[in-house]
This record gives sequence, C-alpha cells and structure tokens, in this order.
Amino acid sequence: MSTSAHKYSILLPTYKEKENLPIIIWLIVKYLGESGHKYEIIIIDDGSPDGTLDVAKDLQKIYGEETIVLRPRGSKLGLGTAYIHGIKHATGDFIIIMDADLSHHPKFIPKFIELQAKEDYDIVSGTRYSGDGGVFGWDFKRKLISRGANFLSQILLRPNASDLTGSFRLYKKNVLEKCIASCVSKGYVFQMEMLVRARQHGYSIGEVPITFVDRLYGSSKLGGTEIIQFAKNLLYLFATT
Amino acid sequence: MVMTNLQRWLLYIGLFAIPYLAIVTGILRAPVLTKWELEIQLLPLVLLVLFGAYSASVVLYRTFTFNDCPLAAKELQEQIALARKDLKEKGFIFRD
Repeated sequence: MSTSAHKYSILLPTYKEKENLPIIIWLIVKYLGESGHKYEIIIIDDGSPDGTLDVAKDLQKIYGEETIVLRPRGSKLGLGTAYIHGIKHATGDFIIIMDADLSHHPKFIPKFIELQAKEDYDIVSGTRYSGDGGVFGWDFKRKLISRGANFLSQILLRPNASDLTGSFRLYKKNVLEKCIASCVSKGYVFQMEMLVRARQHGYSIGEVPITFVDRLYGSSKLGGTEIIQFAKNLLYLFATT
Repeated sequence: MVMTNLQRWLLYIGLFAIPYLAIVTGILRAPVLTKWELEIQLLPLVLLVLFGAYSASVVLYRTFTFNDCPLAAKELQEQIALARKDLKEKGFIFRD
C-alpha cells in the first residue's frame, strides 16, 4: 500500500458512452483501489443524448461523491476545453487523461504512477509503438498508415516520445495547464501538439508501453479528412516549433 | 534564439547546397572534384533514394512487427463480463 500524499485526478471526457462508462469506472476503481493511491474520477460529459450523464449519476451513488465527480457541460465543446474544465475542478496534484471507450485499460495507470514517482517525470505517456505496446483490432492498412504517420512526425517534429497521437497520459497538474495554454490545434491532433509543446517547454517525458484495444463496440474512423487534418497540423507544427 | 524544425532543416539543406552548387557550377575547382564529377552530380539523388529506401523499410518493418495484442482484447472481454456481474450485484441497472 502506498503512503504517498499525492492524489491523482482522472479526467474522463465522455460523449455517448453509456455502455462503456460503467465498465471503465469499475476497472479504474479496481486497479486504483488495489494500488492504494488517492484518486478521483472527473466525468466531463458533453451533453450526450444517450443518457451517459444518468449512468454517471448512478455510478456516483454506488462509488460515492469523493471518488466520482460529475462536471457536465451543455454541449460538445472539444477536448482541450474539456481538460481545462476538468482541471478547474481537480483536487489532485497529478492529472491522468484517458479515453472512456475502453481502448485504454486502467491497469496501466498504476504503472504510469510508479514510473512518474521513480524518475520524477513531468509527463508519462502511454505508447502503442514501443516495447510490449500494441493495438488490437487494426488491419494492415490501418497499421501502415499509423506507422507511416508516426515515422513522419518523428522525423519532422523530434518529439521526446514515441506515441504522439495517443491520449493516455499522466501529467503534473501545472505541466498540463501550461501545455494546454500553448496549444492551438483541436481534435485528435491536439494530443500531438501537447507533446511537442512539452518538448518546447523542456518537460521530461517517460513512457509506458500500453495495449490499445480499438473499440469492441462501435467503430473508430480514420478517413480522408482525418489524414488531411493530420498533415496540415504536422506541417504547421513543423514550421512553428 | 531557438530554431524551429523548419529553420533547422533549411540550415542543413543550405550547408549541403552551397558547397554542392559551388562544385557543380564550377566556381570551386580541384583535380579531385573533376575526377569524381559524375558521382558528385548524382549525390543528391543518391541520398534521396537512400533516405526513401530507409524510410520505407523502417515503416514496413514496424508495420509487420506491430503487436496484435489478442490477449489484451480477451482479458478486456472477460473483465467486462465480471464488471457487469459485480455492478448488478451493487444495484446498478444497465440501460442497454
């Protein structure tokens, strides 16, 4: 059992996650409970029409208001502002961000915490691209695009991390605030910019290999518009950082 | 003054291009340069092809060695069943 005085605030932005939310909460409570660290889960629901917020309220009744904090917003306003909104209400000195769709497994959170504590990293990033990391549910084409995009961004941006577009990370609270404040992009490219800004600010980054299970329910999209958006942002960051 | 990535690339390209152009346009002359004239002229093309081949092999190698994690998916599926059972016992009602 840990005796550290740190507290970890897990930010869960949700939109239409009524099936996944109970499971992800159950898993977080299981693994964080076993680790003995102090934590809270902040659910930021952006007005999901499927009743995700009601599910969150039911879970709050089971696990208590200390563990589950609800900070809903009226409408879908983007990831960056969801994090800012969540940080404002976070009582922990560390922030963990992850997706609520079960692609990120909470079993890795204690590993993030351990690595951060050991090396005093400013950021610990989950990586699908090194060590035992990997992805379930991707075909050859999807893997090739992902590897190609990753290679290109490594060459052009020289980040100090192998997984730029992942969104399973632990930040020191003030580090996350500073990185968000210097970010200009939106959407999933935002995650890439966060680590590039981190390099600019001179923050240290540790990495934990993670297994990424692409949506068991529903499907994730990677279309032409996503690729064009990625390329535009890559060039923008290349020219400006 | 911190350089952006773009400025750094332009610097490296410049450091290569200036002596290169001086040699191919004949501003810089030496017997050794004349002896290797063709090789020097082809150098940028050779470097480009080498870099392309390097990139393609790295990306392909990493694509083929990308871990598939079937065990992670299996574990998750089992845990979903456990979680649903346990949550129902705690009085949670699934709305699906």
